[in-house]
Amino acid sequence: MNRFLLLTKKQIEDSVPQPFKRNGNRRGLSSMIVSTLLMLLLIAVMATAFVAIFGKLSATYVNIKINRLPDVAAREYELMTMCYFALILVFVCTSTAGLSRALFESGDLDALVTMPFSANDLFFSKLASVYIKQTAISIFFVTAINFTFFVATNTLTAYGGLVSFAVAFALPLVPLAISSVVVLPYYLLKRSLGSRYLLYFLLMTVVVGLFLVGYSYVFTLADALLDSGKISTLFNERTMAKISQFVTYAYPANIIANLLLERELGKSFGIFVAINVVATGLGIVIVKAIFTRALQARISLPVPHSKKKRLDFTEHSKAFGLFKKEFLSVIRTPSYSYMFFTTAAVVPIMVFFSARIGLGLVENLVGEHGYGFEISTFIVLLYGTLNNTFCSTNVSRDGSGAITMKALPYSPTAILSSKVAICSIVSFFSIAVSCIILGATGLERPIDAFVTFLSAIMIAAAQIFFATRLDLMRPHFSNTEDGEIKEANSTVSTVISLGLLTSFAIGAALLSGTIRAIVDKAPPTATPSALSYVLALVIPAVVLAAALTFFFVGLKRAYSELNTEV
Amino acid sequence: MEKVVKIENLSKRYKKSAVLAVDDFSLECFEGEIVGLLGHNGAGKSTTLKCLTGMLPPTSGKITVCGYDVQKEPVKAKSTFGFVSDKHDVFVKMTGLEYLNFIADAYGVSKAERIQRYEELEKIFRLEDRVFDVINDYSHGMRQKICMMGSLIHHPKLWILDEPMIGLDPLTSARVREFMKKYVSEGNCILFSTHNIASVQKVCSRAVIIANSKKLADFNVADFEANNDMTLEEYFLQITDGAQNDAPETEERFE
Repeated sequence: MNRFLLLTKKQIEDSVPQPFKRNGNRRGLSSMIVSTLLMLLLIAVMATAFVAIFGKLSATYVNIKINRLPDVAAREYELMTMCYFALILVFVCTSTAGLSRALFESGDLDALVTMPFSANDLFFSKLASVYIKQTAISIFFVTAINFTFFVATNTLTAYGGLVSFAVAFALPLVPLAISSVVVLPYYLLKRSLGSRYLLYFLLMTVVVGLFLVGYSYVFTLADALLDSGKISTLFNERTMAKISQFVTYAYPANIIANLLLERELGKSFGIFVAINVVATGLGIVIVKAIFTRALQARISLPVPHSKKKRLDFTEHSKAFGLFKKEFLSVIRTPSYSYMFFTTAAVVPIMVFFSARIGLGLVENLVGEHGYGFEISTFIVLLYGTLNNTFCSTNVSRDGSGAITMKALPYSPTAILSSKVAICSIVSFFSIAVSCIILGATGLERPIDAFVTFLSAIMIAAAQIFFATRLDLMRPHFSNTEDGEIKEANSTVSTVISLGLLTSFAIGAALLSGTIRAIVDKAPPTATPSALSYVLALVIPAVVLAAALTFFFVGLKRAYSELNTEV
Repeated sequence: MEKVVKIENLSKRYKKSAVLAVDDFSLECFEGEIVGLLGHNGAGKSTTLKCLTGMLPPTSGKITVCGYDVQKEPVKAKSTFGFVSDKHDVFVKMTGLEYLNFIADAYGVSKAERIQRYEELEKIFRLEDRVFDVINDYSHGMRQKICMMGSLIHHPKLWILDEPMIGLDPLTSARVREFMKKYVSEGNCILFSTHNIASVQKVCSRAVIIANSKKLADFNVADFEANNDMTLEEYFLQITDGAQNDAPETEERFE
């Protein structure tokens, strides 16, 4: 095989997440099939939701009148320009991250430069792999946007299909050129933040929190749009004037919109080709310059040596020592800190918005406020479950340290308890904040919020114990030097699936009475039924007892058989 | 001299393997001894040490350290030794100082003892201000040094090391050898695995040769050198070469 193709194939294969790779045995094959089916299902659900919402938005938007005058062609142009502008922004982010990984973070250059590959082979294979991945995403988004738009506005033609195809392949070029300029500052910033653990955590939490607030705002608008077919509060005359002004300068998104809508075809085509040729050339020149430097000297910041501090040899208990070790391993690994601490911190925001939307839905159906306890409990259980999946790597995260720990004078229970403890503290805190918000905002009564809290912490504890023991039995150690786990494994999938299943089962049991009452148009009662309390407390207690049994039975034997090598 | 280690008829078979990684291995080590486990790659040295330290359960046999059965009283047994693994990529998110404190907490070492031992060990390993850095930023040799310091922070009766000299600079290696001799003179015992014959000659009082999972020889190094015409290297090659020829074919080793 041609060396360039060989390298490109390797780059693409390396970027496929582990669950989607076949491991050579039957279990590996079934795991791969299940992961692929789950992913396809998730994509199908997301695509369906997108088509429903964007289709409705397109049909609504093109009929907006300014000064009581309709201008469908202008609205179509504005809508497509805004969509492609947003898409280009997303692609700039994803291709910057992709380029940074390919050039600086993958670590394979150290080995590849010693092999008989030319610098050009290495460079073009890296660039090609980033482009191919971006194009795969582009095909998905362009197809979804264009065809939904064309169908919703009755403008589907063979020309539109053909241009959509060409646009899907050309769209990643401009973002790649922009990324080539910003990739080096991005990498240096990321590296410098990488050793400022607390700042990184706070920054990520604020960014994700703001994103979720924005997301819930968009979700509320989408809900209103689907419900009433109108979002006049957003698209008023002032906003429309701003949109009209913005799309005039939104290059190259407005050129793509022109091409798709057959407006100023010759001029738009010429500009589109010129922009892409310049972008491709610029991208190649800049990335090659960075790549050459990366090859010759490996762009790296000097190792940040700490200033001399006081030698602090304060004594702590054995349990505290273990707990501190666990905490440091999470907070000092940016991806772990994001997956666990940031997620836990933003769960209350998601719980609040979801509960508000859920209760609003019930109010629309029965005309009165009610069923706060049942809906809130279901939502808290669901988000708590998603947060705790991080604990599925409690043992694997230690890497080589997992077996080294066995030589220290700790019992298996002490070692694993420290992992369970840190997960539980974070999880319980997140659940507690969620319940306080639910109680304080009146989404459920304070006493009900307390029962929700008890129910959710029992399920969370059950999930943490179960996930930790499952990881002990089937650890997935990373091959990287620092042992960092960068992708989900089968234990994570199992814990997510079982967690969601349990939450949905309890949710279904709790909401069955509510749904029956809604169907019967019965007004909600002031307080939840005794059965709701029993279900919310007894089922989690049984699940927790089962998880504790699973955790403790045969624990010593399972721990003694833990080995990182064989 | 008191017995520190007693391994009786140890055998270890890994889950997916048809053959024994350690086959009927017995060994006793005493106070004041530096014992070198000498063998080629895959001979069974590391597996023996992992069973001794409780990292792997033996398939059969009994191991006691300072009178404690490693299987029945693991926490008491582990409190008596310090272990340096051949893998140093562990606890990399801690600073060197945090690591030393973590190990000291594990063994219940008092603050005064920590300070005193740190000062003693710092003279040998010379980490200086890098002790405040995160271990992830350390070189291989520095990681090995911090692991060695950690394993000695509680002044263990038995110091176990897996391939200790690989990665250490010559100066530190010499200092470590001197330290080893002084350490056992205080009534302690050292057991380490290696495939470096020169290390055994320079520092060990006893050598135990393992090949293909079995113990082939156990002798006093000084006596051997005084009473044999052949060098230790020649002797090692002679007896391990014969054992290699008796080894099962590769396809027989795995089910």
